[in-house]
Amino acid sequence: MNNLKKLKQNNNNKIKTMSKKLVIITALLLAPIVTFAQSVFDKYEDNAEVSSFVINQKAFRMLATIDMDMDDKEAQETMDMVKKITGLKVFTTGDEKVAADMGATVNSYLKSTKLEELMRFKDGEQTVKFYVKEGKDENHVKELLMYMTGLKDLMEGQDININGKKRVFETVVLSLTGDIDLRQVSKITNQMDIPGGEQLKKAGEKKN
Amino acid sequence: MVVLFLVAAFTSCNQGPTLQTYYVDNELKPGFASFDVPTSFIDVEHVEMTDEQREAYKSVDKLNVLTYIEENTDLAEYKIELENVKTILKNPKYDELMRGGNSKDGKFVVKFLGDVDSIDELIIFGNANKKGFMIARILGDNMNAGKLMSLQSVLKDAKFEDTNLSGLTDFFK
Repeated sequence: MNNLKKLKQNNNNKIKTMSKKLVIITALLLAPIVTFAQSVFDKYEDNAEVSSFVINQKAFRMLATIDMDMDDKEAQETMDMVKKITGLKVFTTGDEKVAADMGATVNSYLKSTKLEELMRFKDGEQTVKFYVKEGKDENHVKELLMYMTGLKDLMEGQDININGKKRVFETVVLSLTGDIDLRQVSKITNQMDIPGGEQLKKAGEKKN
Repeated sequence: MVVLFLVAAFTSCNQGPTLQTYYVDNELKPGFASFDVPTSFIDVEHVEMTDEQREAYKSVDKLNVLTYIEENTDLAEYKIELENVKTILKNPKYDELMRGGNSKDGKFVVKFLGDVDSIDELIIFGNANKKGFMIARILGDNMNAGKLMSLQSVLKDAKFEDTNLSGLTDFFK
């Protein structure tokens, strides 16, 4: 009888350690997958030809703590949307080689994450494409990826100087993640002066 | 075992240099310049403030800036110092808000200590190639971004004493 109890306990312990091991193993296996989504474009941050801009979730949450004029219903809506954003990343380059490489990365990223094309424009050399990952309903998306190429012509008239050197944005990749209400995106980009804001505005309008 | 290892890893991080120790260790070295501006430096005595603004004003202790100006940023010494700061900032206790720039001109990163609605330390670290780098810290206790924004109007009315702050603005030019 005693022996039987012991055996049972032993078995129980074994199962416990087994399941512990299993948890650790799955965690280890999943870790690279979770981080993978972020690292696809992150490599460009160390590229000398690429300018990048990254805003993390905490920044959006901090932004949300700033009381705006809450009597304004629109401002309130925008705030609610901002709270749900988990990240914004913008990568720009003026170098053609890097731009081509970025294009390849975008393509492989689209395939691996199953992003759907939302819309695209073409105007002369300029191409703008929007991709989204479906969210909870048709106005909400989990990820919004904007990919713009051939911007040289557009930039010719403008002088954008950073540290005294002229910067040319040939290609822009913008990625927005979170629970994104497409109807609100356009409003926000209007307030923030980021490359591609004008195109995003169009995306928001079309969706309406 | 794993837990033990993690605990060991985290505690060993805490024993490393912090921005504060880095600041103290380096402020007197050649190439470094520092200023430390307590909020009392800003004369707000004659400015009318709401209770919220006064609370926000009190939550901020000081502005603390350390710069390393180096014309020749290819120098090994500059690179070592830059790496030192980067290593300190890699500590997971510093939460990142945003980062950007490019490796040709320079980069910046904004980090903070505390919670999103009660910040204890806000850190802005930027390096500009051919200029040097700068660590600016806003130190305080339970600073709230929203409340701090309300201070903007106060700053407009406040008198700045003749300060070194112009040196700070020069850095960005």
